[in-house]
Amino acid sequence: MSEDRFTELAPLAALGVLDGEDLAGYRAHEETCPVCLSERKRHELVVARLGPLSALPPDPRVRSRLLAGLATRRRPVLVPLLAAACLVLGASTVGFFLALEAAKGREHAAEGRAQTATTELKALQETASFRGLVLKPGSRLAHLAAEASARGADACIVWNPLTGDTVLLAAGLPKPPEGKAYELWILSGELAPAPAGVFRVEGGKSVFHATPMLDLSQVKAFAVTVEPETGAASPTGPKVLTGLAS
Amino acid sequence: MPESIESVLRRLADGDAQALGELYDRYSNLVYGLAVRILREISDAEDVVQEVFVQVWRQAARFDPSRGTPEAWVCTMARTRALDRLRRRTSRREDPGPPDATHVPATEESLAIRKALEGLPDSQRHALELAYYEGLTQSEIAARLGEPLGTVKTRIRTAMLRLREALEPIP
Repeated sequence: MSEDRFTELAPLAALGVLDGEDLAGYRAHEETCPVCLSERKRHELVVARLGPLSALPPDPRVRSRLLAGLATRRRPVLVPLLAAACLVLGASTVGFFLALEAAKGREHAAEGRAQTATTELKALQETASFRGLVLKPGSRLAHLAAEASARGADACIVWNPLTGDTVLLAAGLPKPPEGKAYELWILSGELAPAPAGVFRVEGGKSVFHATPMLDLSQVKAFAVTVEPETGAASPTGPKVLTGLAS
Repeated sequence: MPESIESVLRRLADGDAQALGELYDRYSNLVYGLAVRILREISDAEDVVQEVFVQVWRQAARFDPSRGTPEAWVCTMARTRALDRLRRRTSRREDPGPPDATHVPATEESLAIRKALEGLPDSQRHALELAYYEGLTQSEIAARLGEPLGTVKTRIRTAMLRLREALEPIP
């Protein structure tokens, strides 16, 4: 293969498309050819710049999980510190620390439920209707956080202002009381909350396709409340999930 | 005066977790969008975002500004990881078309790249996209398009040369 031939392959090598004899030949050649090496690296810089075309904001929980993962690795081990505290500080202070530990235990149980819900929510995101709407032009995605009455639940919502379609995914929601159901609300600033339909849960989970052709042009936030199972014209029951349409 | 990205990376290399959050806020859109484009899967794309920023956390000290911008660095990591996942899959997903990024403010960089790509003939751009977003080799692209291998190689090479010529020098 001529020198020019290998130089011609350098852009393809940068893109990672070479295969077979071309790949083997180019690799062997580049080891002794600074010109081709330089050409490939210059084209790799071009390839690297193609990334920004596809920018999309991820779910805010991805950031939380990433940074929480770092914090967890750095958290000091409490048990040896507790033992040292017993020796130095006395019984009443130890009692305080024990109560703190009990509260942390409850906190950890809630975190465990939340972790299960997050895992289930992740699986729900494979649902074809959810995925399809996410990938439609103009679609947006938001996380809904659990209120105290639904601690441990997790939810996300995708909506499209152009088509008025909305799909809510929820996991870890408790079964509502007899005669009640969950209702989704669209909050658009100064306007009254707009009802978007009632839904139930199966095993704590729900894939809810909201009322079609909603006016989502000015949505600022979403909320889910507990309402009569036939639905309500305005929110009357406790909030279980809320989230901003960021 | 806003902090330079080089300064954020230095802090990150020194183990400053807050710097990782700042870097995430600057570049997560790029990483996630690219991963979604390649994988067509929300949860897989989110995993790629996690993996890339953990890698950034671990390798911040190794970033070499002479080799490109931090933006290009994270995008390269994102593409590599996303393509690795794609290749491990046993079934292809349907292709609903490229996701719309219009609700993310366009940057000068993305506008310049978009303009350069739109300046390519469709056949060249398509071959480039198959390589970039699906990680296909030249032979696979030729088979997919039903074109001779030589034709595909010429198209890709010409597209790459035109892109390089169209894009301004890296700042």
